Amino acid sequence: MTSAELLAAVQAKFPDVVEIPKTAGQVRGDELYLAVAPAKIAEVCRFIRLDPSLSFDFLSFLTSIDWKTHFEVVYYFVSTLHHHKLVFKVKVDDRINPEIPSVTPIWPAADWQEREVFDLMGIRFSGHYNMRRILLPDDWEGFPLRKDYVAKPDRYD
Amino acid sequence: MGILLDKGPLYVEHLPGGSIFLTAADSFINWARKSSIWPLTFGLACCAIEMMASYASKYDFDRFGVIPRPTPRQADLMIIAGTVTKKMAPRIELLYHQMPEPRFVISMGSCSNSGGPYFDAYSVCKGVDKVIPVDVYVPGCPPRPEALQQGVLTLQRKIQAYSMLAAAKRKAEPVA
Amino acid sequence: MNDLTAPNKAAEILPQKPPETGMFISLGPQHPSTHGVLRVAITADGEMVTSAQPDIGYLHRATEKLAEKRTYPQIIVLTDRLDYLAAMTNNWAYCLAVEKMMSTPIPERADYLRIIVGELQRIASHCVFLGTYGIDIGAYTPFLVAFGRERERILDLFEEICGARLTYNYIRIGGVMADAPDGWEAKVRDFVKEMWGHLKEYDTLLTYNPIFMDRTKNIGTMTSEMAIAWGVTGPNLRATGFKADVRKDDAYSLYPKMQFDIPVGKQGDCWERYWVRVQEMRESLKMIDQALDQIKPGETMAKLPKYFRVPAGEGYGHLEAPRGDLGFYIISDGTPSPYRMHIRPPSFINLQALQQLLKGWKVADVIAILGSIDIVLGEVDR
Repeated sequence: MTSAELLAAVQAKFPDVVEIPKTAGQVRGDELYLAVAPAKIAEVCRFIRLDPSLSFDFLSFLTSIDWKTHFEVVYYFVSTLHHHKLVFKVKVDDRINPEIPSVTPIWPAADWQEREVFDLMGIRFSGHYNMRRILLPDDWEGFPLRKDYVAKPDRYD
Repeated sequence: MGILLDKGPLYVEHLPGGSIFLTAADSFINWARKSSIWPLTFGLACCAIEMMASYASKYDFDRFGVIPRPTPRQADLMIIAGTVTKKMAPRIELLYHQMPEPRFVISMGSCSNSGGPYFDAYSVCKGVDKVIPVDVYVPGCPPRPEALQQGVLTLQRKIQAYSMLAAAKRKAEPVA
Repeated sequence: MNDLTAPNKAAEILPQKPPETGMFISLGPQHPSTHGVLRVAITADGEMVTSAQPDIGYLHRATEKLAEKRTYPQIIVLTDRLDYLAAMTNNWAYCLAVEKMMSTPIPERADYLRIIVGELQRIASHCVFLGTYGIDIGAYTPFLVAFGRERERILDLFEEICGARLTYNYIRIGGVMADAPDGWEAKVRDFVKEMWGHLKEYDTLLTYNPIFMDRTKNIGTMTSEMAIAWGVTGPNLRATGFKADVRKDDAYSLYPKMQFDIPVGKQGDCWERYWVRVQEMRESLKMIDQALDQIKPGETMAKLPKYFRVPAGEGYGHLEAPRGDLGFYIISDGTPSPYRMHIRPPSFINLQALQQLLKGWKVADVIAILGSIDIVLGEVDR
């Protein structure tokens, strides 16, 4: 399916999902980039996973970006059946207690990647069965990948 | 025997039925210790691969008497090969304390010498000597297997130069 | 092909809380199996594993955070140390992402050199897998043969072309660091000729060895459905029977000009994961020969300014690394350093499948299954 057909298929079910246009002078791949509201992410993901014409069964990666005023969670999907790609960008405004629904029940591939996003950026995924730190020690304070993170020196520095 | 005892005292007397060798206890015991250093198989990161290459057939380590042992209880040497992170540091301390004396530590590679290319990372120890005492530092990123072998040879020289008598004297008379 | 659009039974396969009863075994982070600092918390009912939770992070070196402070060429040094057994493909994946954003045309000779060193690197990485997997199972000779002899030949070739044995920093943004010295291509051809004979040797030593087959056949089976759901890529996915290879699906560089097959298994057990890698070595040898036939003298580096700027925006470049689908997602804001760099690590995502894969097997099989997934902790922890 081309980007236009994908957009039409998703917007038919979820009209408030919009395409993120390429701004002037910005480089980007030619995949379809969609902005999804945080509360709706689980439903939209379930739809694109199960709908036979879309069938995005492979979650390539899941990551997060700190834009200083808000966070953004990026999902990159690939369909092994139809060979098309899709990118979701979810804007999370809350910087004190950011939280969005987890997509682990839909793709188990999201399991550790969501834990990593929580560990390094602090965004919680509600509905995840094991929301704990994964890369840093359990008693680490702070979320290092945030732009305002200041490392606390300890005996190992 | 001369090259093995490294210019230590040696007195040889041939008798019917055998010989008598007379030497200093230090020389003899140090010779035995340095000729069969058994390291713990402990690789952390990329340097571990070069350490494995130095055990393998091209840069054989067995000719120095070095045989890897999987448990710290039976090892003399711990080669810290790779980056020491803050999560791993307490485990390295535990392994060091599990090794029986006399025990030695070689810090292999820039990461364990001083933090290496990750010196400004939030989760990396700036050198393993912040955690355990180190005897020999081998620089490189990663050091070639020959460099690690030279590190072990340096350690052998260090072991040969060790004097038990001097250590006992130091213990008996603490520095004021 | 399995029907991968069936409703996902994720609730059944996701691990729940570890059971309260049973013996708790903590495997690692220091253990003789040479996979690095990984800890697996196993709960076993007698000899059977009831729950297995890998515990990682013992090698977390903050590469993604450091990338925000380093300039684009300096990051290549960091990428070397991610999957340290396949440094060439790491460099290449990163350069693919940056070159996509800059739309730099790569000179043809540089592309062929990249393919030759990339495939040689794949063979070297699979040699390490062969050797260490043999040691895990209990066979010591394949290690000395594959790791101590063949891989050293490949490292000698790499040392001639770029000066380093492990962390090459050879593939740069816009091309490669240096041209091959005189006689290098002839040496590569000699090596390829010899390697065919050595692969037959591995077959007698390990692949069809009855003890090895007893320990790895029908152990740790994985279906394609499970693999795709967990995001598993690389030889692990191909062993389940699913034909997926970035070199064919999303071809990059000059791979469309190469002719090669994609070996697939049938049932995704440990033996098949091993067998797929040995077959991949054969395909790599074919590709190196083809690239050596097609390569012509020319430039090895595109004309880029000394202090080049990557335009603002984002780019994702991925390729088929020996361990799976390795990708770099870079967000640039026009400054000399990236704003954010994320690495899609195949070993990290393959390893999470272990939570389901280890259930129901014996404790002795845990080592066999863990070895067959072929992870590198540098990539898992970054």
